[in-house]
Amino acid sequence: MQTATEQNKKTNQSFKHTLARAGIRIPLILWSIVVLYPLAWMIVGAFKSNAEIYASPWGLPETWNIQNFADAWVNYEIGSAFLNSFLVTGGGTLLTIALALPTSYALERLRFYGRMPLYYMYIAAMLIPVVLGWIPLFFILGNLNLLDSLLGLTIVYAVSQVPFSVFILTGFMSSFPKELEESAAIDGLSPYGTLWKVVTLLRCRESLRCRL
Amino acid sequence: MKYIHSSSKWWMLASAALLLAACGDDTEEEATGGDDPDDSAENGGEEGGEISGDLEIQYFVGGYGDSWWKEIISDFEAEYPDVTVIEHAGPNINDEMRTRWISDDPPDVVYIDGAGSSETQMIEDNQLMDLTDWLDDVELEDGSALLDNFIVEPNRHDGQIYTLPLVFDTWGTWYNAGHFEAEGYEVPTDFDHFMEVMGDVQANEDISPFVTTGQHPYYFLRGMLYPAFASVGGDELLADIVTGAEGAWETPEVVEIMENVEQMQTEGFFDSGLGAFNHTQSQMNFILGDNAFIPVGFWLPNEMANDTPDDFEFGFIPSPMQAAGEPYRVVPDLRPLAIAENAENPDAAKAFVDFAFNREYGELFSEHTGAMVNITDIDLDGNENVPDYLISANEMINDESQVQINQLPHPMSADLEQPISDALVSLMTGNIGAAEFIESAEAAAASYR
Amino acid sequence: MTMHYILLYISVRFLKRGDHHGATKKSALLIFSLLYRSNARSFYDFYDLPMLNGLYLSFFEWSGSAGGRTFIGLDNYVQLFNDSIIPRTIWHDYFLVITKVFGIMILATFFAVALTQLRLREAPFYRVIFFFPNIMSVVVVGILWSFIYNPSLGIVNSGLEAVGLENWTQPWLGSETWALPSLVLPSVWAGIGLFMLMMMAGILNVPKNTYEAARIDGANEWQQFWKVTMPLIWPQIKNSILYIVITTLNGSFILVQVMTQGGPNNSTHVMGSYLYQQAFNQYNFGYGATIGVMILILSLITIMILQFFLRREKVEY
Repeated sequence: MQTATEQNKKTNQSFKHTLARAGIRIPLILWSIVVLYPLAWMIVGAFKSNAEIYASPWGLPETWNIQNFADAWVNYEIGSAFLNSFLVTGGGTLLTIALALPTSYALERLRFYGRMPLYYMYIAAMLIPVVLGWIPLFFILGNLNLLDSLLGLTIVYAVSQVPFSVFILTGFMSSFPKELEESAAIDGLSPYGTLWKVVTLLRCRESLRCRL
Repeated sequence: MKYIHSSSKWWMLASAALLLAACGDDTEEEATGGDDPDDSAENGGEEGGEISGDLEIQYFVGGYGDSWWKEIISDFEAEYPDVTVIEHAGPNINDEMRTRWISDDPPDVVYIDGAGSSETQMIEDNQLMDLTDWLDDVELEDGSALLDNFIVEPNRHDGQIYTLPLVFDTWGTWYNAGHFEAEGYEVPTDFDHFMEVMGDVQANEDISPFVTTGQHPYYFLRGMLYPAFASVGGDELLADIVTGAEGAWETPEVVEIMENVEQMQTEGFFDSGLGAFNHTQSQMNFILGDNAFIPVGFWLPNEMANDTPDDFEFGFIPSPMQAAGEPYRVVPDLRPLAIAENAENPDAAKAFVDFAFNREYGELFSEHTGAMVNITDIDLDGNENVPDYLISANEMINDESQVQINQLPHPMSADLEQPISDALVSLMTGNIGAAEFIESAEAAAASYR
Repeated sequence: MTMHYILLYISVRFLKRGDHHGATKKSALLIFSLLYRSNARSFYDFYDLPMLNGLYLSFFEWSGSAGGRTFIGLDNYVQLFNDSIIPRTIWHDYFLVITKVFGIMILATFFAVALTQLRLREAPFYRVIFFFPNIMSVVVVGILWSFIYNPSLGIVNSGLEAVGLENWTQPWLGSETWALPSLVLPSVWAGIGLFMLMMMAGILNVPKNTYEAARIDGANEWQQFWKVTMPLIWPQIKNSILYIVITTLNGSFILVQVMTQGGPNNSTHVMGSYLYQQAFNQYNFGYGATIGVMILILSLITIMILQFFLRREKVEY
């Protein structure tokens, strides 16, 4: 008797649980559709001719035409553009990290005079409209003979990423327990050693984030 | 292609560079014509005289393509073997060359066309050479003065000439000639008839008969309103409108025209989606038969060539905004050629400009692009390489009883055109009436003055 | 740049020599400040200098296309205060800021909680899918959504017609009323993934036993969320909000340019797109720079106010 009610209660609970989970899935599935449908459309659209995109934008192409891809590869040299993008973003990211990591560590963890003003300088740098910088930037690159070079583009890319990276990294660093550094200091680790320790910890989380 | 980059390309370019970092296309190319420019002065050509060295030419490549330019440049190099032409060309060239102009190191010759270039701005910033005196000596191949053979005279700023109108871009109204014949629609001859035909199309096919781009309302301004103003007030009214003269929009004739536009709106003749259409979307709509009329310039067939169905037959008339019995009006947009004030090789630059204005190249231009250059009496009849609509348009334009050509004193400044365009979209989408539009336009003119 | 690495080199050598604890600490400070300065220098050269140059130009009349410019003092600022479009652009910007912050934060937090706490089997699938739009360039997002909103071809209108809501169809981007609200969905669509991941990283950081303790105290899932999760991931929430505000104020103009060009009749112009139009379409670069100054000042004020309201005691765990 008692076991039956218990059993009943249990099934009831698990039923409720299943229902709740199904309910939670509805928005997830809906949003997946909202994301995937346009993306699928874009991929299908790549096989269509221009006129077909406008004539029946959401239908399947009459013939799966790979001419567009050939065009992109041959006429628009997507291949080399892709390689360039890869080099610039890759190199730029490394450079950004090299610049932003010590900066954010210094800003977040070391107490020195003018810390907050400097922090706000970085925040402010994110707020100045980039459009205004294009023309002067062009001349600076010209003076350094970096125009039309991947190196120049990489530097610009990296430096323009620094403020955002500093912003994000200081946020992350502030969530690290201070004991970590204290123990590092007691262990006689240099500041770089400490930074490295923080970085490895950060990397764990970052890679966690990436794996997500 | 013509106006695709209207404003998008400068930032597209830069954001592409900064964010995507995908820069694969080199638009600057060095045409190999002459040998080493250093030793070329010795074998100076018989005709060229002193003309030698590098000549930098900047030209925008839009709906008309670049084949004509390639041909004329290679001919020029054959004629002047001591000159090495350096081409700066492409759809984004105006932006790519901007820093050269800012640092006072401009190219020698510039063809002013496409977004990011403005004749008015260049003249106001003293970037162009005064060609007034030199022009007196320039002759066409038959020995007559070039100045006497323009269809439309060069713009004058304080009496001086800085630019020579090369391409005669005519705005007009396009329709599908084959479809019109099949459905038995008439080709509009005046505004009332135009309204009637649009009513027929609407009733017959259940579509909005008229489309234009709401992102670039100047298509409607230049393509429909300028001809309308020309037909009631001629060059004088056009000048008042363009210079922002006080009360120009409040004259009864202009008010009537704007009420006509309002009527087009209330009858439902405008495509209701046009507010957000860019030029490509509006033109695709037209090509696919979702709309029957569209105001665009001569470049339309060339620009849409890849997307046009086989059974589509372009028909062109000057925009039918005039009263019955009046001739059509054409207010061309002229795309000029100019020489930089700080040109490093002004002699070669002048030689090139002289070389480009020529009936033979004019005819060639029509073959390559389906459009016209600004030189009178170019015989296109019987030329098989020229599309039909162009031959008939050319005939019409050369026949004063059918079409009269009017002229703006200079293009409208962006500072005036922008607020007027904004109000115009509102009028076309039915958010404001003609009276409110005129108020806004007058206010825009007042703040421009 | 070179400067940066020379300094880095010197500091490393210096560090190797110093073995005394106190000295190390002191030298660390010195080095970091030096490093910082070199870093700030290259940063200054490549980033701030061009930007500050832009601000300097706000005192000039300059077409942005020629060498010559004229000093006109504060005239551009006078024009700014008399420009009737400016207040509209400011309002449009803050409309986007507010709707985006709420739209993104609510959805991103909901998804993050759902994907971390509910142990759904297909969670990795959603994680990947939701992040897709983030790797697309804003230009592509804009073009894509222009098609979605297209009055005759788009799925929005055809979808409404399919479910019998013909009366609800609109020219969306072509309507002065609907164009601005229509820009919100693409922004949320493109932004959610990143912030969802930031939240998830925060939630995964919360020690499991905290929840267990809460459960033993009788807290249901809802209470757990408000009492445990929220306070512990507050730094992530705060940073995400600031990040959204900053990117919106400084970056939403790209989407506007692609989708509407500020139209119809200025109904979607944000400060950035209006700056762009003035500087590059109307050849008033000096005035554009003045708008830039305004953006900077307004953004700084906004960020400071937000910092104040979002500050909470740091929770250590």
